[in-house]
Amino acid sequence: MSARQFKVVGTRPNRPDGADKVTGRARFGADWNMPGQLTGRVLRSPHAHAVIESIDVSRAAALPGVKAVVTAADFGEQENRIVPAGEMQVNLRDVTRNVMAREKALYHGHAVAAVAATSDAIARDALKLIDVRYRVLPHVIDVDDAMKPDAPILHDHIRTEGVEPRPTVASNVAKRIDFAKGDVGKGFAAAEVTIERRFRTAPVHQGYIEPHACLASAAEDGQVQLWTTTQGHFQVRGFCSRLLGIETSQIRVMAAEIGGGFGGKTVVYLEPLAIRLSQKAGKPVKMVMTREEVFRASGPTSGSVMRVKLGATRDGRIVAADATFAFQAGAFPGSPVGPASMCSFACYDLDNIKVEGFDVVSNRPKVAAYRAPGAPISAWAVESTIDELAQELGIDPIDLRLRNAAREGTKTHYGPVFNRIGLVECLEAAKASAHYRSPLKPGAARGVAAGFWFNVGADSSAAAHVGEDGTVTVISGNPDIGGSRAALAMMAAEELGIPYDKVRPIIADTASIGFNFVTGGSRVTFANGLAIINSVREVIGECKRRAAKLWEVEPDAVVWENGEVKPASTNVGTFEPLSLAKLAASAGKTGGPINGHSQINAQGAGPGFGVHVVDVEVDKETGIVTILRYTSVQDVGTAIHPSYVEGQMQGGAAQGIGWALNEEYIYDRNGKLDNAGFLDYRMPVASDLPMIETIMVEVPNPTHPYGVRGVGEVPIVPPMAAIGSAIARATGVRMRDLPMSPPRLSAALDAASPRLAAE
Amino acid sequence: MSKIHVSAVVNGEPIEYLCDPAHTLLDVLRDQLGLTGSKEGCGSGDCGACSVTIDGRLTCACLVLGAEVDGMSIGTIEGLAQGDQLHPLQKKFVEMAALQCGVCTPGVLVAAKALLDRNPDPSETEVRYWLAGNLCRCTGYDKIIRAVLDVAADMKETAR
Amino acid sequence: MSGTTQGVTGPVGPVTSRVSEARVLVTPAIARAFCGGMIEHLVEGREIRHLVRALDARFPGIAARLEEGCAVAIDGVIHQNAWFEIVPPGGEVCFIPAIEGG
Repeated sequence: MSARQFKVVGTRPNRPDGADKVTGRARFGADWNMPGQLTGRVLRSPHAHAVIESIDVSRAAALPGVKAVVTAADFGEQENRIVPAGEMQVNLRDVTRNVMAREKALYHGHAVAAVAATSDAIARDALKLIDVRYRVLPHVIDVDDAMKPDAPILHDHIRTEGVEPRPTVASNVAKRIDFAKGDVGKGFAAAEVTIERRFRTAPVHQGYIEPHACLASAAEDGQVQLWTTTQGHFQVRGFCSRLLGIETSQIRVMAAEIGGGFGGKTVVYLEPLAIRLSQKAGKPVKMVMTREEVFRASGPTSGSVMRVKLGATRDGRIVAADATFAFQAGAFPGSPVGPASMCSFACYDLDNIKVEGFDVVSNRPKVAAYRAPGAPISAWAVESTIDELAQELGIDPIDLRLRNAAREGTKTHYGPVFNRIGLVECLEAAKASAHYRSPLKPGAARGVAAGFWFNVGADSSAAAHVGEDGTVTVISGNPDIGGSRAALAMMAAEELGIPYDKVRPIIADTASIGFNFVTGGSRVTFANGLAIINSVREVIGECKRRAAKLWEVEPDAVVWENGEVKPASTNVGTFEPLSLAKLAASAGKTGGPINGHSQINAQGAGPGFGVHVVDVEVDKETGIVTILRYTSVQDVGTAIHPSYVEGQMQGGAAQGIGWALNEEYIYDRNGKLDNAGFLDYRMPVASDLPMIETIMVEVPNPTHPYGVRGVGEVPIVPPMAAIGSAIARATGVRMRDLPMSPPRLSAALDAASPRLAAE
Repeated sequence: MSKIHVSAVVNGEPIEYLCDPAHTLLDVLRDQLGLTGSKEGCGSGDCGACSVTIDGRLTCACLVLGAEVDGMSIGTIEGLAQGDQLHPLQKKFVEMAALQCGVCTPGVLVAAKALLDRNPDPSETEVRYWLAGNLCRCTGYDKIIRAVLDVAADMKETAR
Repeated sequence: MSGTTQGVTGPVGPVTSRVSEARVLVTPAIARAFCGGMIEHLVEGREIRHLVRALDARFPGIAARLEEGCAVAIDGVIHQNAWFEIVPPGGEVCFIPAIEGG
């Protein structure tokens, strides 16, 4: 791609939804109301694993003010088969059981019944009147326990997939996957140094501040309207259509403003319940989760048990890499162990790699996507081991990575060959950074890690409408989770050659624009950007045709420049340029409104790489880690709105810092979650963090006209290993289990130095 | 249980409402008064998304009963802008991209204004500790802290 | 590695169009389930769907697996659901698990 000179791209204008969001005007999921609406509430399992022998709702239904009660009996059985629902591959048998338990409750917090009543107080009272007879079963929480041969089995029908011959007995291991390149046996035989380590991570929640919320209105004629907080209103429509047996055209989903998602709002929880309750009650039903419900029944991402083995020569060439990743999927199959296995060694150009992964069910909430699903988990293990290798070999950790870094032409262990990527540039930028070259404060230490995420494209629909005055509305269908409206409007303005403030972006509901895949996979600025650029190009083409007609010249005798049609040369004739405003004013006389639209399956999302550098200080008595300085370096392709790109890099780092140092689910011996609140599930607060420095490396994605790469997910991949390595270098103690929370770290420090602890 | 009559001032306007004794001030603001700018992120005072001021003091509206504020003056995000003029904090947050999803933003702004009202020249550390009760999961706080410090610096400049 | 090409089983389009042979890679799990463990295959086809059909003729049942839940990297560029994408002459086509992301 040639170094294009941009006018709008790369500037930092105010976001179009800014005023709404700083004044409280913006309407998030729980801010939608309808006259006569009822409040819906969910009864949740108090057991981690139990057969539901019977449910009697008669007392609840009889309570004055209760208008509807639903249980699994109100939702049809679904086939045990992977099917597309809103372009996602899902097993609807499992989805319907996750939104409402059928034969068994599979985790503490699993929905068992729901009611709709005239007030929240009545709804809550009604829940207490639902009589559920449970037969409590032994439960299993952790992944290694769930893999044991005598573990309590969650699903009698699961036979481990990916093992030949297919086993004949039920297992909690839903799937085995593997990837290989070269010959690791030969590789390790050539190694002069071999390191093998084991790691664990705790499940962590996405931690969006806005709980799940929706408002459903089902009319007597079968039409359904739904307002919900989601990363993909088309997916919500798809899921609800399938689960409830309603045609997609009968369900109109309006995406509310979304208060954070990070992957956790790509699935349905409340929506099918609210619609069914509304159908039964004949009134709108609003449902909002409490924070406790969010923790008990939504998200999180997997916890894991992992092993990584690396072989290298003394001069720092990694000759073999072998890893095993076992991931908790929660109550139903579908952990991100696949992408984790693929991302694991994607940063390295190695000849011999072997990776094996296991997808394991246990009595926890079903995992949902969380920012670069799986990648941060395997990166914790791989990058920590790479750092130990660097220490062992006495090589600078950036140099070791540079010596082995993936670059254009590198063949990955999962198959594809990389085209133009920017990992080497990121490593070099990190090495040259003021941070990396700065002296360390006494007692502090520095850690480094790299990270990779694929980024995705997928289905996008967009339109551009030219108003009568020549200003433009661009319409897309992906909830704006972090400033994407601004980026989309900027690309439209750039392409049209008009000022940013002449373009108004809106996000349409499922009935007002064609299908769009979820806001996820770091795809919106890339894929919707492509669709919007295409729509705008249609507008430009139409403007040129109209001008050519007006001037009575050939269509190719005119050009589009800075928002106007002009004659291509003086030979064409002398014509006053026609601006968008002029063309719009006469549009009715020249052929009608001027609009453009585009529907694509965006291909070729450019892979993303990042490198993080962190300085920490460890209080050896308490195990408290202070982040002194943090720098996030990333290949961002082309930064459309640099402030929001920086924001992604900073926010991902902060989430990773929480994952590294504090966040985890704590279960009691009965399989009940003990820390279902923000007080005990401790996410980073402002006083925990320093400023997060950012270095945007721009290696344009050759498959996007502006060079856009997704940027949202990469920044959560490196932080844990960067911090763990800094702690190891500060204390001499290498932590291999997350989180590295004060009690765990102080225990590890005490164990490493018993004499000191005894004093 | 019968409802309780409450007279209060909300964003400078005298207001009366009948309050269910179990309802929090946040319930009253959102469900009865239509002021949905204050958000419920946790209902337990841990996230700060419902930050309001009561007689000038920063409080989580989810921790106060609606019946408790009789005779008091409540300030919410809806009262921050004056007429068609955004408060300098609101302007700066938009200009500096100090929000991503925006759901914590109303609470952060109310809290930041309460800080600058009592300490117009805070250090970075003071801002970080003052806002430690307001969770933001998107931004990593960097741009929020910078925006607040920038507004403080502007205010100092104007005062000179 | 199997070098025999079975050609496309569907319409091949205008005679002037070029039917090329690509190196097609499948995941180890798919290779074990359908291809006797063989990961790499030489397959002729103008578009991705033609490769899938040709593979299905060789390994019955593989098409459903490649069309649901797989993405395809064509000379390194990842595509989702890419039936009509053109197979570059001598190119490498790699079926990998579909990626969704958060």
